[in-house]
Amino acid sequence: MTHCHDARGPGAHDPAALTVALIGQPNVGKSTVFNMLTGLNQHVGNWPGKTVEQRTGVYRRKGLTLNLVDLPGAYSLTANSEEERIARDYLIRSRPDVAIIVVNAAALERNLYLVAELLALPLRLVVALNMTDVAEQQGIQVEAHVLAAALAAPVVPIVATRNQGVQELVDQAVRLAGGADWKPSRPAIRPEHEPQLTALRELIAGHISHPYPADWVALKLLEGDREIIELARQALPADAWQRVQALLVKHEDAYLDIAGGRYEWIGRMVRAAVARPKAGAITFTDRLDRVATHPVAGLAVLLAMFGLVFWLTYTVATPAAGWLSEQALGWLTGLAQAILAGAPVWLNSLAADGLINGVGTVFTFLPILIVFFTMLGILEDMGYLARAAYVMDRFMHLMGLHGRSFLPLFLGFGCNVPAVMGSRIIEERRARLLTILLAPLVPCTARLAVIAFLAPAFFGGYATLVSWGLVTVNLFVLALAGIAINKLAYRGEHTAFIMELPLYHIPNPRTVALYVWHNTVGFVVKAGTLILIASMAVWALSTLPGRGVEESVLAAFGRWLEPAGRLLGLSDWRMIVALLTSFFAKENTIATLGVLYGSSDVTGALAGQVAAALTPAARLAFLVVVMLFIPCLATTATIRQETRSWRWALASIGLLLVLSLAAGIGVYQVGRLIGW
Amino acid sequence: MNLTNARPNSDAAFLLDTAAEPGEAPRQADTVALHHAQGAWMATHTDGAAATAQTLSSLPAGRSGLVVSLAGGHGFGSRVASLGFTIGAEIKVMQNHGRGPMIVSVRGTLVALGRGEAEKVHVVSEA
Repeated sequence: MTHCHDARGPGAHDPAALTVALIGQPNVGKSTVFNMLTGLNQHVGNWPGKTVEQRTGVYRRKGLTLNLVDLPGAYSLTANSEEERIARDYLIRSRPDVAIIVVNAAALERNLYLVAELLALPLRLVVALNMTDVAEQQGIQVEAHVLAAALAAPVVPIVATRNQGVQELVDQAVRLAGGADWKPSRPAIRPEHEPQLTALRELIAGHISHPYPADWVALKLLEGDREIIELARQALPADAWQRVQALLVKHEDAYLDIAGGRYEWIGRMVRAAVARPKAGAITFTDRLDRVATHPVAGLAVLLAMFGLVFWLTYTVATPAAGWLSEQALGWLTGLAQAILAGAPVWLNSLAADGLINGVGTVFTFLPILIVFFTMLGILEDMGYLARAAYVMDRFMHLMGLHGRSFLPLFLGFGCNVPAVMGSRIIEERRARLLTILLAPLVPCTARLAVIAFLAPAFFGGYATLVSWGLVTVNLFVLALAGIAINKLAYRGEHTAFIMELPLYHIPNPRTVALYVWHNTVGFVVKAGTLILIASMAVWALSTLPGRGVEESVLAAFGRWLEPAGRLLGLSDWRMIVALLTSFFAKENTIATLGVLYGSSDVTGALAGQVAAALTPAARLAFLVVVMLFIPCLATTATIRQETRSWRWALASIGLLLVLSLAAGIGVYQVGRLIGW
Repeated sequence: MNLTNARPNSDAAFLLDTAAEPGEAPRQADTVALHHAQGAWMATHTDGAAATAQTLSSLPAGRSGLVVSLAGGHGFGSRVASLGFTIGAEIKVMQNHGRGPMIVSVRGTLVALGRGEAEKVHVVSEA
């Protein structure tokens, strides 16, 4: 290929800069390589028109600038998933100067499959042989220079987690992009399929337009690739298309042979370059998996792990959150009052009651989120989360989902926004939509914080019991809704479950840190914008037209809704308003109560005031509704963004509105009957 | 070799035929075929006639099998083939509790498979 091609990757403003694509199968440490090269000098967005994350970054060294494009993880280039389509479209259409393929030395055979596919493209390729340390622990010795000779392509052994070999990798990529010899070994098709491939080449010759390489198109046609078949159908004249079609129908199983042929070619590479002792030694992963993936013991491990996550989150983060809300907020309020000493009373009130109380309270959840996502990041990076998905598979089947859906749903305990976005890992659209619809039923940190705040004042010694009960009710409703939707709307269809289980390994601090950063930055942005606006709006509505809270606009609206609230036992308009403002952010419930009950200290006193206004049945009903209420604004917006449809966002709001009100009314009415 | 025991509607019957007589040329160029090297593997590992195609889901933990065919159409086949489940590939069952998903090792990686998916992979294994 000519490396001075026009079409370059994103961000190639600097003419001297090279565009380097980073590609690899899932679980090969590709993100670690990307993070090592770019650090925080990276941009996370979406691929145009897709809901797959796009990460680009810049690497700089004296006199050298690389624009790095991190392609989504792909097992092959066969368009089996959105990720694979994006990766191959990018490589074909944007023609990077060079591509770095990251392979896992401990699973070399499977990883070389992608290399075999990439070699069929006009693309310069450097192989980064990663996780050589893990491979050595398993007694697998890969001779990089032998592999390089066999492939006739550069192979650089690296340990990305320890930043070993990364410089050498960059040097090789630059050398290859600069026009070094490139005549790699390429897997040949099995002899029995040669005639068909030749026939296809002849039939499509002259009809396939740039940028698609004709040989590659012929091969993908024979593999039965739907997207390429569609491309050919549109590009070919009718008679040629009919002959292509006839040939493909006759040889529809050729794809198995082509895949088999690639693995035979790989087998020769591996036999030359890999020395491994006789298999049979029980590895570390096998031993751990005997417990971690056992149907009974695995479930116990799962519960213990997640118990630990929650316990640590609340023992480590709650004191920090408490300190923030008492010390830092108090200090801020004092500061604001000192600065605004001469300012009008309303401005003081806006700063203290509106801004600091509203937004500040929300920021105090940050330690909880950071600890939660740190724990989850560690579990993910050490390889445990895939096992959790495996153990949960049989339960998720009841909802027509499979184990993979468990991961995004579990993220929901931190925040529903990453849960909805995390559903991207589910390939099947049907299962993805159902997961997105169920995600807001997972009680997020914000709702748990509201419960943790109100439950002690509402139920005294029974607070812990009530809190656990509420979480259980939420999960129970989630399961029931999932089963019902699957039965009614999807008629019990079943989704395919195929998932790689990565080897266990020591988590990398940098990877975990970036995971936490990406998951919490969204929350900070939300708190800084949506919640800021909502807090000011609540403050304004509760202040205007200036005759005190009791006669404000907000009070009027709340009183108007009181008849509906009475069904739930909420005869106090302030409770209704608190519930409504939770749409802007769940945490707003407390902030709003704080504003409405005129209590500037957001501690026990406020909860006590609220408790006094309600009967026990109404208190429980209120907490149930808080837990099940409609998704917050940020979650709704994310649902719209991920499903590309307002219908799904509105369906989610409708579903939760019905469920929460039904549950709330049920609890209150039953509670009243038994005399609470 | 008892061909009537082989699964209907799959290539297993033909494959077993090839395995028994490694020298025979494939009947049709496009038929999924076991290659000679694998035929030899089977001859030494399966004591000839003992091998009958069965679903991967029916193999207990610790047993290995060779893939002889994939049911479930192009979409499924192409997905698992890229993961290493090609005709002739050796698969070792790591975990199979008779219900729910199972774990297999294929080409040096661990893969979790739903039971429904494991039923679509047909293997021959030593008796």
